Amino acid sequence: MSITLLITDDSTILLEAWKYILSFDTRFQVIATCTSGEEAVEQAQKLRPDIVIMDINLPGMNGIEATALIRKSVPETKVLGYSLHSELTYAWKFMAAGAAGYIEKTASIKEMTDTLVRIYHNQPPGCKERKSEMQMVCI
Amino acid sequence: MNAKYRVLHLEDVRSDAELVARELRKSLDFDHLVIDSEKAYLKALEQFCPDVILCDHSLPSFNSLEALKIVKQKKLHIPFILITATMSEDVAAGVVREGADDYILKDRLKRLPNAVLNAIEKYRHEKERKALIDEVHQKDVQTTKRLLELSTKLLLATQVAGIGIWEYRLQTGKFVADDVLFSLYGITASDFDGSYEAWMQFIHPEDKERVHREFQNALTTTEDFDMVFRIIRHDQSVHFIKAVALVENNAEGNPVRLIGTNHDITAAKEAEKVVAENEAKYRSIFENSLDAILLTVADGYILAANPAACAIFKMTEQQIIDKGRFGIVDVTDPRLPVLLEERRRTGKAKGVTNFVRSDGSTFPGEVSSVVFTDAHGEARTSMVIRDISERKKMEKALENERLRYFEVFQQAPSAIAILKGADHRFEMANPYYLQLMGKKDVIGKTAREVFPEVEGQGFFELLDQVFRGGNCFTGKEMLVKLNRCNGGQLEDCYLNFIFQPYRNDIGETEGIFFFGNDVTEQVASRKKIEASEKQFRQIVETAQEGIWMLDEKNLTQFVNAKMCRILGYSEKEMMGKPPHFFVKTKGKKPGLHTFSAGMNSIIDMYEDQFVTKSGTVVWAHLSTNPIVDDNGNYRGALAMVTDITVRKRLEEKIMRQKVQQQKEITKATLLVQEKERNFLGSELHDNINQILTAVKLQLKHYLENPDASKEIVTSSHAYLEMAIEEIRKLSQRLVTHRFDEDSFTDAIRFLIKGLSIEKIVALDVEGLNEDAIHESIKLTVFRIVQEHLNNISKYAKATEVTITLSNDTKEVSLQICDNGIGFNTKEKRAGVGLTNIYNRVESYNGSIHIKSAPGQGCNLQLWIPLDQPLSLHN
Repeated sequence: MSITLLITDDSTILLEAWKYILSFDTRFQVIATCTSGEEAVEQAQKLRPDIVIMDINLPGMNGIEATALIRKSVPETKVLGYSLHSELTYAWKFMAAGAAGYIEKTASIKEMTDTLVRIYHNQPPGCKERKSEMQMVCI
Repeated sequence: MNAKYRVLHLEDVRSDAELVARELRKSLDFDHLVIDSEKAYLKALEQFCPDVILCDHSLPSFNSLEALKIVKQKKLHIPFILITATMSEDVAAGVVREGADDYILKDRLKRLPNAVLNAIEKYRHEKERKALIDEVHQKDVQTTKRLLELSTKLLLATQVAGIGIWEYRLQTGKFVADDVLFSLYGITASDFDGSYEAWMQFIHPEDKERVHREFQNALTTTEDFDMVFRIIRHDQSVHFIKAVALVENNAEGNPVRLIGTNHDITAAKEAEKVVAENEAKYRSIFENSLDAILLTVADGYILAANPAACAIFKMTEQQIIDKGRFGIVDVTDPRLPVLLEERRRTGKAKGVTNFVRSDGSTFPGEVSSVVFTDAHGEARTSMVIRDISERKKMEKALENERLRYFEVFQQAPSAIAILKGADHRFEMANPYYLQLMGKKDVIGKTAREVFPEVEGQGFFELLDQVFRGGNCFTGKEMLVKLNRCNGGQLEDCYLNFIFQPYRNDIGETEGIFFFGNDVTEQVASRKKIEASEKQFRQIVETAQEGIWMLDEKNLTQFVNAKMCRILGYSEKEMMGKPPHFFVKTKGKKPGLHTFSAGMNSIIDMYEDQFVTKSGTVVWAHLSTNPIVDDNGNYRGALAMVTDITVRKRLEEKIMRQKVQQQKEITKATLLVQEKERNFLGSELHDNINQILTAVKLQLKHYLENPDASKEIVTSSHAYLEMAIEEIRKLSQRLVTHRFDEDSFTDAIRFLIKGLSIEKIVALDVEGLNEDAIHESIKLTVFRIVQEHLNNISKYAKATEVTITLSNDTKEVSLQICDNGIGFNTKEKRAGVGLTNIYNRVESYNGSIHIKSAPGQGCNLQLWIPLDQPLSLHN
């Protein structure tokens, strides 16, 4: 009973890196990767993953719009905002669109897996998470 | 007349008698006795005592002639009037000849009453006179004799000399006078009632008192009087009356009456007056004449000499009389006998001879002498002598004066001529005149003869006008065309002259005096000056430049029309104002009153702003130079002014546009820099960062799972190389425009390489000499190449791009051709890139041409001048 994941990123390098790294963690199962917003919405409706890891900069439909669509059409699927940007505005935009959490691309593997697990269990951000994230979520 | 007249009428026809009676009754009251026989006639003459007899010519027993004869024989003093129906003129004339007083035709009876009255009146007067004479006869023998004598004389006087006789009786206080006397007063007896007052009314007012006094005096003193007084007749004529009266006394010695005569002496009085006046006149002439007048006897005795004679001869009248005629004339003068002979022969003589004064000195005298007979019938001569020695002296002086004037006339540097008479005949002409007019032998000829060529030029008409009108004419610079010395060629001659009429003694114009000067040269040179002045004026007025002159006080002295137009003021408004009045910056430079600060003699050129009358500012270019006289004194300044407002405005506009372009370039540059930063940021962030992040994740994973396959390390190594390459590209992008290290062409090559399009780009720099191009232009060109290549690599999808860079001494040219998808040049400038290119080219005064269309690639060509304003390089 691993957590099913859909990873969306226009950078194939990171996409491949995460897919490879997470395949070693039994708690997770990457069921699909995609490089555009439209593709992400389509795959999410079709595969109904537990969590969609959603990049913000995508060709065509961007990550925020895609998040909103997924949350509307597949409410059980959770979305984790995922970006190189550290500015809070991006986090806010994701949360406003219905994302369950937000994480920077530069985060470590543990941070990523911990966040995925916490989201999956509908837990609020733990003490270990970065203060900024906590604050952001509480707002 | 109240008295009843008695009319004896001889008439055999009763009806005729009644007709006469009826006619007479209309005018007078009378007793009418009609008879028709001689017997009755004689009886009637005795008893009836008729006042008048009317008689029909033919009576039964006797006729009118017999009736008349009876009256005459009886010496009856009764008027006899013949009345007849048919009577020839001869018979009537015969009756009248026999003594009838009148005759009346029966069919003309209307005349009868007057005839009767006149006849009665006439007979009454005669009767009175006779009575008067009879009365005188009745005096005592002596008196009677005297009176008889007097009466005879009076009657004679009455008939011959028109002496009227009058008598004044003291008893009645009335005058009685005869017809002659009445005629002296211009009246008849019936007009005078005999009263003293009626008589006095005739007396001239100035004489009344005297006459009254004399008359009363005669009455009171019983002295006779003899006086002359004036009367005024009813026709207002004045007559002098000489009245003589004798007073007659009675036995007691008291005056009874005055008897006297009146005599009209008017003619004598007037003659007397004329004589007296003439006498006085001649006496006055004699006494007051300035000429010596001598009254002499033909044989040489002097009877009288007037005061002037005394003065001239320096003698008393008695001395002159004593000397006698031959004592005062120069007997040695040969002219004297000639004069005497002439006087002897003709009765008069006139001429000049010498006279001798008391001191023995002689003097020339003009003498006129006449022989005449005086009132007493004696031969006399008069001599009138005028001392002409002074005149002689004057004549000599005048002659000298005349000679002197003649000298002046001859030598004068002006033309002088005298034209005499209505045909302007030359009387005199001085040498200068002849020389000026180019004529000779003019004396005696008329102006028209001397100047045939001048006919029609108006001068003869002028001469005629001056001669006729007598007014002077002054000609100024009048042109006369002269044929000098018969050359045949008419020459222009300008004259200043005067036609001055001169007059003879009685004021008539006798001729014309001409005085003239030749001013041809002055006129000619002035005309030249005027012509050049006119030319200059024309140039000045039509000049495209404003011309502005200042006087030595730096006040406006002259401006041309263009200058006025430039400043919008009228010429009048600009006159006398200093130039700084019009300068926009006036007040800023208070010392500057002239055009330029310096007074040096070189031309100064500058631009300045002026304010027009309407307040607008105009830019003007001034080229000024001071005007200096021969002595180096400043006399003013001249400025040639060009309105450069339009040029200035354009320049300003261009400058503003340039500034705007620079701003846009700056903006664009900033935009590019921003873009560049964004690009760098996103390159670093999105690309390199992601690569490195991936490597980091992989290496972490490898560290946590050392037994994992080496694949992940290999992958990480590859990612790191990728990151290094990306960074190298970015850094290249940042340093390419640093030409100090690399050449311009190298920089472009780096650029091409940096865009990874080196395979499709061909760069041709064969015609380029980098050293001739300023750094700023190189940078601009580099930026343009960079911009355009960016566009090509991004959008054009070109497979071939050629870049050609070249330059000559004037400009650098760039051409970039590609075979990409192209674009529509008509549409809004495609993107920021192209706009930047346009702005950069325009800001460097270059030109650009882009040719492109969808599907047909793009050909960009541009040229930038090498010579740029300094400001742009900075």
